[in-house]
Amino acid sequence: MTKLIKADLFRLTKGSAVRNILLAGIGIILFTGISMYNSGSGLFSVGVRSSVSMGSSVPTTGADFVRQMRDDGFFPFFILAFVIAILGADYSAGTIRNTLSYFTKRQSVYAAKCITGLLCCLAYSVTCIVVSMLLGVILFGFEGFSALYFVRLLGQIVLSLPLFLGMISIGYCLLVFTGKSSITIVAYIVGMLFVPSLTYNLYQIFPAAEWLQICDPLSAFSVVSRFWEFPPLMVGLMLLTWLAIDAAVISIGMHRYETVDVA
Amino acid sequence: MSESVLNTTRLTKLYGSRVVVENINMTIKRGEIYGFIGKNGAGKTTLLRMVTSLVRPSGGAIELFGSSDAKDLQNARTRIGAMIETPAFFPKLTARDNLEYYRLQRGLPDAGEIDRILHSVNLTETGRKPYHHFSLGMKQRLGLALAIMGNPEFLVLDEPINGLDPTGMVEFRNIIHRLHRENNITLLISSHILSELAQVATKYGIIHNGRLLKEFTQTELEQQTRGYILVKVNNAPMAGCIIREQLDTNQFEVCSQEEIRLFTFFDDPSVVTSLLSANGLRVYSSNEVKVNLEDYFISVIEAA
Repeated sequence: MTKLIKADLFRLTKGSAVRNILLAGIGIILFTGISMYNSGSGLFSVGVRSSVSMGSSVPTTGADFVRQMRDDGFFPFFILAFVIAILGADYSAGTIRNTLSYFTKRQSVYAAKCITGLLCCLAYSVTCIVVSMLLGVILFGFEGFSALYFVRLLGQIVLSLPLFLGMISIGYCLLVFTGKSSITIVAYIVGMLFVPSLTYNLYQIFPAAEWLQICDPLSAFSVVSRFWEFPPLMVGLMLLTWLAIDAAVISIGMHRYETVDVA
Repeated sequence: MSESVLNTTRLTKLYGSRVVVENINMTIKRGEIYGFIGKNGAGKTTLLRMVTSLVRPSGGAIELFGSSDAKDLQNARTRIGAMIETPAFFPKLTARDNLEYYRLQRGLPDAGEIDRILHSVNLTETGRKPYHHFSLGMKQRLGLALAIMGNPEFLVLDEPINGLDPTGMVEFRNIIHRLHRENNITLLISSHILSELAQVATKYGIIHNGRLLKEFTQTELEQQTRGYILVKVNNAPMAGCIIREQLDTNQFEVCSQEEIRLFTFFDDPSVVTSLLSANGLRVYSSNEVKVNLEDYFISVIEAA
């Protein structure tokens, strides 16, 4: 499996897709930071935001700016872009035939692709943290950075892993079922818009399941970016829900991958 | 007896209720170049996909290098190189980067492998040119380069010369000959271009409507396609009697009242025409008729 990951990382470094996604992420941070600095508003305030992050205000310190940039409503869409860049290229170019005619243990291939996606998300996360930290310090100063802050940042990255994996595996699963990047993109975006209303309605039916409100992707990423502000049980149940989603989607995706005929 | 590289038993593939490949029993022995012939939609590609595990069989069994259980088959498949339909590579990567991707993926330790295979298919001069700027011939050769990566013992090539110009075809044929000669690679090649296939294959299989109609060797093909001398006379049955009695041969066929086909006397047909004239028969014409693989293929399909 490591050979497959190594090969995919080699390809991604040679191609422009992942580099462009990283540049887009950096661009959004720069644009938002400068807008916030100049006028107290920016792309962040008009972009895709979850209900959880609506109350955020204009940052006053460098650390606050980094935290707000971590509460990035665009992130699930960037994950989709990674999915399309990594596995979608295999389908659009037809190279999946070359891989699967050699590696007949397809579950390894599926797992390797998911891990490569996860590594891309981590690379994106780290790049965005470094860029927003540099920009935050330049625009809003050193204030707010402390040992506790960095521990929370690390915790945030670790807690994001089930969300990364869930979103990646959902994207891969859609690709494997449809075999087409275009259908995957549409289905993924429709799903992103539909899930919040689904979780809200489920919460209406089961008021005790309060954590359901924060299980939609956008809210979940927002919660993780400020996990210390929420009751631990609620965050835990939300993560548990996502781990269950991960297990279910990966299992369905792998089964499908194992048995599907490759055109 | 040489080792069997591929052996299929009652191999079947259904898409819904539609039978695409039906009960195919095929054997390819080590060192053979198996030409797989069939019309569009006959089931060639589906069968090759099943051999390379891209498509799951609905029934029957595949045995590769003597292994037929699932785990051994997984290992056996790493000894196969394949090019199924049009070669597929990442369009913005160069030939070398595309091959490097697969070298890393397959864990081949020798980085010099890429130079070797690029040299084998005459693609050493592509430099920084991305794959999507390659000509069709270059794409086909890069596909072959991937197929021979890691020195496979068995190559599966699906329509490898489709769309190539005459020079490309000759070049491709020479590469195939060299690979077979130098590495004793066993090949399974499907193609529509039967004249080209006839120049490389040592054994053939004809598939039609998902069924394998016939398998035959190059020697058998030569016998079937040796041609004949078509003699037109005023009384073909009597001509047959004269030839049998006076020339002591049964290598002829009376086709109609006026036509007789001779499968001998290619060097000097006048022996026959003179004899028939001397026996009072009127000989209208005698022509040598050549039969090629295309004609034979059509005759087998029509007979089915």
